[in-house]
Amino acid sequence: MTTVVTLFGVALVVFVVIRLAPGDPIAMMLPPGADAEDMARLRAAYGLDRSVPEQFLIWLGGVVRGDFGTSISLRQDVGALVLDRLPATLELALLALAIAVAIGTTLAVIGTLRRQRPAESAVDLWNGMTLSIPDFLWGLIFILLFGVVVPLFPVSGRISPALDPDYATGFLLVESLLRLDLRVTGDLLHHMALPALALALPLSAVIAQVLKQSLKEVMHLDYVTLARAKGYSEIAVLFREALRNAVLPTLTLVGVQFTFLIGGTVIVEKLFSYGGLGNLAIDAVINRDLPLIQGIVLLFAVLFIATNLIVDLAYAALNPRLRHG
Amino acid sequence: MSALLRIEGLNVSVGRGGPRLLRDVSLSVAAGETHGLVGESGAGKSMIGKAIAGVLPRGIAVRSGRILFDGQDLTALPRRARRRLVGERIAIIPQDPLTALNPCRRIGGQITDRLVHILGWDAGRARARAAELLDEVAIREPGRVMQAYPHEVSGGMRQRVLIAAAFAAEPALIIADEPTTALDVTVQRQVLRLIGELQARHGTALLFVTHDMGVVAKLCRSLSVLYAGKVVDQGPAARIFGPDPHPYARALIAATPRYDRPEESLMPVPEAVIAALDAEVAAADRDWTDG
Repeated sequence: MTTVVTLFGVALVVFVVIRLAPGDPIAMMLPPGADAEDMARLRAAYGLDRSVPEQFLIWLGGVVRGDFGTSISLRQDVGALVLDRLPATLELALLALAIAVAIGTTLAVIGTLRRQRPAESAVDLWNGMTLSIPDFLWGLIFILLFGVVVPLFPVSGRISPALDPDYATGFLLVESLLRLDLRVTGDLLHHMALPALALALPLSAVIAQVLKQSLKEVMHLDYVTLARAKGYSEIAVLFREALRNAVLPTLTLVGVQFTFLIGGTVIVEKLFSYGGLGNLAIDAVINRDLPLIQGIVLLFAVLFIATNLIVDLAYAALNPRLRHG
Repeated sequence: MSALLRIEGLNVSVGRGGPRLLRDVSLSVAAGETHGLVGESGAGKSMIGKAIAGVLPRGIAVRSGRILFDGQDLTALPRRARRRLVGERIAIIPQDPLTALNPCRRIGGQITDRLVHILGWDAGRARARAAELLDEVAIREPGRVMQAYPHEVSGGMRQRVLIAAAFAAEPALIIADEPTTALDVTVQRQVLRLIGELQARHGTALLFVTHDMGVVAKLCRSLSVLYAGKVVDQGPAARIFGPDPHPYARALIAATPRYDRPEESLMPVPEAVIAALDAEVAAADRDWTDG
């Protein structure tokens, strides 16, 4: 129920705001010199001559029936367009999340085991740096370093055109792995590496800092001391006793940060010409493609809500005190 | 009689040259014997246990002295060897059963940990042993309790679980760090009796840390009285609880609640006694230089 209300709110705000923003989708469509009559005709064809509340109700009626309207600039069904691009963005975001968790956890563990030694200061310094540089700037840095100066990685697209496989789903990475089509997997990862890393770095710093703090607190608790007295080494104590308890406070934060990461895909995908939702969103905004913007924003809202739901479920799964509640 | 544990001139301090938490502590515990460590809060009782187990908090370290366990000096052993020796032969019964169990792990695993990971038993045998131990500490449904998480059982039951875990690997020495302080009075007596029974049955030496002179009188053959990290009196319980105790021990005994004679109990320690002890500690500090 809350979900429906949230989505309705998002839809309403976006619908109104993009109509208040300057720029006219019809003017963008027609060649310069089109006369007022042509514009009025086209406006009527897209229903843009009606009042905003009226337009909203018409659009909402469609959405309820699963019809998200037709893109003005691409002249295609918005629902199909958006769902077509979703897998690319999901795969990129999840890969970035996996990288962020791997880097963040490693740094947190190193910082905890070597606390109050130079290694911890190095970890803190690195975290401060990665956190203060935003994802799109990392993207630009990577393009310059690994795309131009030392061209190790492709800096554009999702897959090499020659390899583009004819798969049943848009989840190329997952499907190529399932089909053991490792040449495609490799090529996809090669393309995704830089954008995913750019998205992952700021999140990895957040994870590293919060998890390290939380681990340090847990490492002082009685049951951890008792585990040390049982003869475990410091590393074993950390992984067996402390990590799971320390992950809990981090998890909530990772959920919130992951929604930022999904937001970050918009610019990063554009930078790397990666064919996902974010790239589509920017084009839609540039073209004042109102129905497409609405569809994309609504989908992002669904993704955010789904993320929070998954975080809550994971939290309950990891914390026995929350079960059978 | 050779001692199982002998501590000689142990000094523990915060950082190098920082305040001393233990001042030239010496004591010995024979195999199968119970030695009491008594003193007020902050006297350093628990610190001795932590120093033996090698789990002193960060920044606090042994500066000098030896901790001889079964003839080996623990402070001189390499870290790994020490950890192994402590894991195999020394166990701790912690003070607070509510914080000493990992909230995210089932109870069974926390009992069998040491058996499986340090002694290398197979899981089935370790589980059978854990069930047996839970039975020994009078837990009725061992199978169910082993599957439970700590928050699902009572405080008294958690302390029994910790006692079972401590005895699991048949250690030669158990350090009981105020094991009853966090429990209510009715449960305290059961837990004490339980520790006493298990100790007698398994022939374990016990270093019993407490501030409760009443408990010491019941359990311990010998004891050390600590003040500000210094042993101010030491000897057989018969002498210390006898007609002519050390003034501080006498004061501690007088400070113990007595339900039968309330007007004579809960006496504060006389200031003259404190002053004499402080002078003694100050004199010890003058002679000591941080090596």
